[in-house]
Amino acid sequence: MDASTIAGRVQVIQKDAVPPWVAAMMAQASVIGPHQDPDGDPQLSSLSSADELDLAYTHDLLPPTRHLLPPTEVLFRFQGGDGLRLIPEYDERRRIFFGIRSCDVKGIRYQEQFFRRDFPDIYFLTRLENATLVSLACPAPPLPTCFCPCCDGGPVLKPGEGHDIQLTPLQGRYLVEVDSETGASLVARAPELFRDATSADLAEREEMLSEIDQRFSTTAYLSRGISKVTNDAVPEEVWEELAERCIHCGGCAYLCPFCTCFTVSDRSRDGQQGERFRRWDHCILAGFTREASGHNPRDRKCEQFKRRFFHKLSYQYMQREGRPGCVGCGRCLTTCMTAVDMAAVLMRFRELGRKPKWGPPWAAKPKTSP
Amino acid sequence: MENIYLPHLTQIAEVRRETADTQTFVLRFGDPEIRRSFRFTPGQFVEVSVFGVGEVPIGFASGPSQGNGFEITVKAMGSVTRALHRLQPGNWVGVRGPFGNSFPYEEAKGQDILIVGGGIGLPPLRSLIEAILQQRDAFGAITILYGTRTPQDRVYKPELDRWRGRGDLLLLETVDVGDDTWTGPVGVVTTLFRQVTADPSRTIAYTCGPPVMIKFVIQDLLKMGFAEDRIVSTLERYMKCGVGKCGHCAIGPKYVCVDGPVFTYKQIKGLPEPP
Repeated sequence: MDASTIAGRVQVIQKDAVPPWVAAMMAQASVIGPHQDPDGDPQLSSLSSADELDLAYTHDLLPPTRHLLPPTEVLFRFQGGDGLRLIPEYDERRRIFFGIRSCDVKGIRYQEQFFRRDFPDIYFLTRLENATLVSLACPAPPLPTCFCPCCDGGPVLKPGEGHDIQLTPLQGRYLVEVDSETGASLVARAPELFRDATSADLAEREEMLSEIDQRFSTTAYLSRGISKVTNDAVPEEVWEELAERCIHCGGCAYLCPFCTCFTVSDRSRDGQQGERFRRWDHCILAGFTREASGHNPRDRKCEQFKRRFFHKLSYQYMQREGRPGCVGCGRCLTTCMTAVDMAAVLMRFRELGRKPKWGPPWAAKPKTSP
Repeated sequence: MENIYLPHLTQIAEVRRETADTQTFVLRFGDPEIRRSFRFTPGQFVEVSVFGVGEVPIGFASGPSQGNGFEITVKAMGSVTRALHRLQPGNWVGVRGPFGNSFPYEEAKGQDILIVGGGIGLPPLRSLIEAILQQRDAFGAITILYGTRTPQDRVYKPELDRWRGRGDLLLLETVDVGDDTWTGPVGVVTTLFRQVTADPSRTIAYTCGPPVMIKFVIQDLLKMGFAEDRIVSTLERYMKCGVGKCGHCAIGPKYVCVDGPVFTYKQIKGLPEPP
């Protein structure tokens, strides 16, 4: 069985055959997969052995996009002296992302679209072009903070949504949907571990899919948030109320599989040799728009807060990016210390124009989790 | 794939002191091929690197077809611009660009031109003025208003004299605070509007300067009857990457570095943070 006959076909692999398959991959690439760190917390990073793979994981708080747009990276080194030279550095390592969730595939593909548009970003795209995405469908929410169905973020990917392979957990085995030539070549590394899916396998998947809507209760109501932000229907005092709670820690953006903002700095001891690097930056931070003169066109906290949600929810950006700026992964719900994460903000918007069923208006507190 | 973040090595050919804190740099690419093929239009900008310190966006200050390099005029404001001021002719810097859109001036042929500059906002307008003067006959009356804080803050002094002496344009200057050397008008730049008779139906107004000045210039132009799409301004934002990626200059749905930095007031007024 070679790669050309596998593409587009549905295969099945037994659960205990997955580690040997991953071991075959590890011979040629770094496999970034879910495993437990020494404290027992789930982590998506390079596997040192296929046996540590843990596909029953919940979520890594850090999205896998960090392997493509790292928190900090050198753009080029410069060497002064007799002749100034600029030496760019590109990361061409082969990476296989194995077992990442649908929402994270959507995040990676959004970032790809962003970094490909108009002025292609060679650093991100070099990493991505050497990356293979094997996703894992979620028959049930891995965490109670998940709200992907209302954001077009998952829980299951359709063909053409950016994965090379999608694994769907069935009883004791995975359904393996190959969606690209690259994906087919991964199956072709160990074809003896796979068999063609039977009608019984497909029926079990259909049954799982039919129950999925009840398992994921769609609670964040992204579309309503989009309409409110786009139509400027959120009163200023509600923005003020939410922004006042934000403590500018930056956690929501640093954990967001969508966020792409960065800043660029130079590092040099003597001005002769050094490096230019970029690192993650965040529109909600107070100094994000401050200019050298001290002038800050967005100096109000409320405007800084609004900026984040305008980018993620406004129709203008949906036209630009082709989708809303949230995949419902729920990471900002986990990290936000003051309950101004995406779900809390959407739930607050949802209360607009609705009177509380009972009690005085000040008793109607915004809900803080979906 | 081209690396959009990798600057071209560029030599400082000449440095001219404009004011106590402002210098004009003539820059020339090291690579003769780039030197030959490099084109830009007024209103566009470059990202200038002082290696080891950082990179800043600076608008072109010279006319579009000099061929032999280009000029930027830089006020020492932050760490990179201060480092730039310490460099000498012969030193190397990095340049990326040109980036951004341009002042629409081909479309303004046959129209009168009103240019309002403030302080260090004159350099990008100088690029526009030179472009217009290269085709002087294609335009109607040209009026240039320039205001600075003090007489010591005026840039391009020889040039201002040359423009004044041409006879085919009107240049008016003012300072916020005068001194012994100053015999001209005193007051903010908008006070010069009283001395100007512009027909809003056949004039395009261009302005560049500090945000607070732009705000009042636009207010007055609207009062004078200018249509919103006949007022052309630059928006000042921290354009870190210049290519719509880093996110710093985004306002509402626009990236100033890619969609701007030149906008009509009609485009500006719908944005969340108008001047």
